[in-house]
Amino acid sequence: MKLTKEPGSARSGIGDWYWQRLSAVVLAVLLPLPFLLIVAVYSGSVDQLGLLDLLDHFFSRLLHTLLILALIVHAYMGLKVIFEDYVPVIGWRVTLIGGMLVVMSGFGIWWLAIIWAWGG
Amino acid sequence: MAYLSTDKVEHHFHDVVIVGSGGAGMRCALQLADAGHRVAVVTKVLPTRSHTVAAQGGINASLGNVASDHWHWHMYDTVKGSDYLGDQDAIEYMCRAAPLLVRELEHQGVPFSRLDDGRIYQRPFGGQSREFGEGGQASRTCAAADRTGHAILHSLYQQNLRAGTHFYQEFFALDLITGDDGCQGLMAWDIARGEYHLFQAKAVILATGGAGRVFRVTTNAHICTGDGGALTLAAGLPMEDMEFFQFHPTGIADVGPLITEGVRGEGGYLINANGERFMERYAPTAKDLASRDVVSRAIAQEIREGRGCGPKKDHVLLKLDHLGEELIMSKLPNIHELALRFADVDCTKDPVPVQPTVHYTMGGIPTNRFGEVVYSKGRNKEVVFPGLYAIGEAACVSVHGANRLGGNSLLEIVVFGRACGNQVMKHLREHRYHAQLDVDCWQRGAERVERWLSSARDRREGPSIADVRLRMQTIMQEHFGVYRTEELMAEGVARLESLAGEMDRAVISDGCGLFNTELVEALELENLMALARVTAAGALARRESRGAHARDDYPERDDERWMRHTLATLDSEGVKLGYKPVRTSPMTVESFPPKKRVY
Amino acid sequence: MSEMIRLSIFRFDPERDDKPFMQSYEVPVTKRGMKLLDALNYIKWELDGTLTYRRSCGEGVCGSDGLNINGVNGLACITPVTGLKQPVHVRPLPGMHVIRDLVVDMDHFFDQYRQIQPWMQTDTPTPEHERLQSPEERALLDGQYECILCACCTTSCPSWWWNGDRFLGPAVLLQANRWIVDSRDEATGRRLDQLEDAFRLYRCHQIMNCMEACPKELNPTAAIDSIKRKLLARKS
Repeated sequence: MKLTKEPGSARSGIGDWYWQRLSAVVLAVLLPLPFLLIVAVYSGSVDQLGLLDLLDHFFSRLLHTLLILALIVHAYMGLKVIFEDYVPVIGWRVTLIGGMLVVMSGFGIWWLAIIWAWGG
Repeated sequence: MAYLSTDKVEHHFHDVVIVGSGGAGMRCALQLADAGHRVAVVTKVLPTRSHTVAAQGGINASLGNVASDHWHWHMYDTVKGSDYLGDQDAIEYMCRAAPLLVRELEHQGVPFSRLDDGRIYQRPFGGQSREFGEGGQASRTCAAADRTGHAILHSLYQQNLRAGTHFYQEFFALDLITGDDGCQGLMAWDIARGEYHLFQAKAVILATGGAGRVFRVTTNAHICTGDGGALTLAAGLPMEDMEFFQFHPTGIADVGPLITEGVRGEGGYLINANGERFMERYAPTAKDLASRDVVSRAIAQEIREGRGCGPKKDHVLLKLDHLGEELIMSKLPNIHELALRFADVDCTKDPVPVQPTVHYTMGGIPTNRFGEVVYSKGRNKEVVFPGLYAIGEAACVSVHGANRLGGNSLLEIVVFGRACGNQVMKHLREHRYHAQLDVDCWQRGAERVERWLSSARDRREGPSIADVRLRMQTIMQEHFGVYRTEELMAEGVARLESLAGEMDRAVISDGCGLFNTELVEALELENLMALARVTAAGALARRESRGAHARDDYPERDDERWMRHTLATLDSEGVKLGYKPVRTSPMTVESFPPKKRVY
Repeated sequence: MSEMIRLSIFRFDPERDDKPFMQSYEVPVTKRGMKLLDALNYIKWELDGTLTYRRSCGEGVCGSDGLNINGVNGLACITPVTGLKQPVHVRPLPGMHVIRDLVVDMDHFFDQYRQIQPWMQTDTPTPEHERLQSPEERALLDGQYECILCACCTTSCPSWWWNGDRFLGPAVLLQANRWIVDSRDEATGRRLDQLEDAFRLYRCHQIMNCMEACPKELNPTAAIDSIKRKLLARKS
């Protein structure tokens, strides 16, 4: 009789699930805003200076930061699940997820630097 | 253990080997495993596939949750239901133990249906009364909707997972290893891998279920082939009361699946082609809830007198649409599903076509109330065969006598599963070591398999096992049905004996060693054939009508000559019949003397 | 009765065949409401004794004959053969190791069942009588306890195909939920602890093949969601 060795629970499931949904809610609220802005620009109700003023505002920067963090968390969670489903070899899984983490963190830092105009 | 002459046979040592993973086997395994013994359950299927799973209506216990009840009334009903062929000590033991064991099942997790006050739901079933038949209908059958057997089997399997019982799944039992000092083990065939296994054990328990497949139309599963009984016969031991096969009144016409007696318990009733509720004529008091043999005979009588329904006038109708959709869906959901699937009938709107269908093997391996297998030796009619036990439908304790009451079979398996476990523990205290085996004890079992495999590998010519089986089932169906006569049965016995002669020439076509199900069917056919022969011989000899054995030429019960158990053995010369008296003395209460049965 | 049913059945004999193949059979319709199991039996008993499959009760309660029928998992004994698109393609349950023909290795499935400790666990002393349970509490078990462990749902689940070694699969999670919602069981916390894992439970992506496949018309997806809600409630 073949027996599966009981590996125990990783106690990670609810955390992952929670963050994915939380980030989805943030995205649902914040993601339309940039598009609204674009629409506003194209319809001519906001000009370039107005746009810059808006983006420069502290609250805009805060929301922008929240948006980008949620985007990264959400994408990371989603892609991680896809890697876990489709990449059967644990070594490759860890490598890919790790690589993805590095790339996304880099992207996030770069974007945050732009938002808050670090070093500039 | 190379001295057992071949490394083709894998050797196992267990304290106890249980053959069969139905309710009885698993209840017994649980008792022994919880006590710390090395228990092996050898089963030809996966444990949850055993036929206990198909039991529907419920399990009897005098809990008195719905109306006051007492185990003594339960005992009276069971003795009366058995047509006074039941052994009253065993019946008393079972009825007394019932409330305890049903509550224990509940504690083990069985999802019983509930009453409003939170206690176990009980429904009326056939043959149940209060105050020794004087106080009207009792509600004694504890139910988990109409899936009670499923609920109990799964719960017992779960408990065995907890207890760490060792399951040898998809192993077919080939032969009992017996010697002068009793049963010492078992030869088995690993179906999936095609290997021989020799189980040495201090006790072997046969819990292999019924043999309904000796008939063509049956509510029984394909696996109900009476394997334990055939092993017992092969070991030179007798089978008891095999002529008593219960016909369940309400199998779905032509196909077989069972419609539980619970349908009538909940208020359903039978009607004939004229729309008449005919049971009122046959059983004025109990009506549709008379005991099963009575209802089956009534249906057969209606059909014989031309009041059957359908184009062939070969069935009657079970009406339950008046119960309302809500009750049907909450208390009888499985019946709704089965009627829809197998009769193409929505039972919330239309009646279900039913006919008496072979359902239960009252007879079996003779045992005492501790589950020990007994045989006759000289004047002593109950000599214990050490180390060999039988429980459940495979055994004949006999609590069912000539006719079983609905709800008593699930009860029997847990009561005697546990009782047998306790008795085995005593046996184990006295037998601390495995017996020394004969060097070639494995051979007889192995020869059973090799004979069939070689027929396929040599491409021998001969009748196929499917052909022989169908002919055997047809003979049993035609000659040993609800109503029996001397002439019909004598012809049946002759045909059956000549068919049994053909078994030597029968062949299979599959010579593969791995998961050879044709081989398994061939071995099962050998078992069925042995049981069919003792059934037929016992039925022909019994010149009376009692319970499920109803004869046109001897319509009355004859307590003077026939209130005794049939014991049939089988050897190369054929079936030999013997008899033993019914144990009419209960453990503590007064005996119920035979009376005329009226419902 | 001369109507014929064409079947194409997956065959594999590990002693003889290098790889599996599909074999065609023609079977007469022998009775009204004939089921696929009747057709398989006809083949085994009349045409080809080597065809290998499991069967027991023949009425859909034992769960032996779970098969992949025209691409959908179901029980042969309750699948009417008329009405199926012909030729009827019959294959073993997907994602399982085939032992022979239509017989698959169920060990891993039952090991996973064992992992959730599917038995009643209580800490309070056993009462003299039954543990009381109201009809409403008992109703929570409807749709849970009826599972026959046929593995039709689990083997239809892509998540289980991909991560079957760690994802418990719909059938086992349905049974986990059966004990979590049972008012008599006192190990709910331990059970939830054991399930709180990204693989064991959360591999369920609500694909819902399981509820399509279930021959008893149970809904494992809903059970899994119920467990997730319980975990969330516990965390919040």
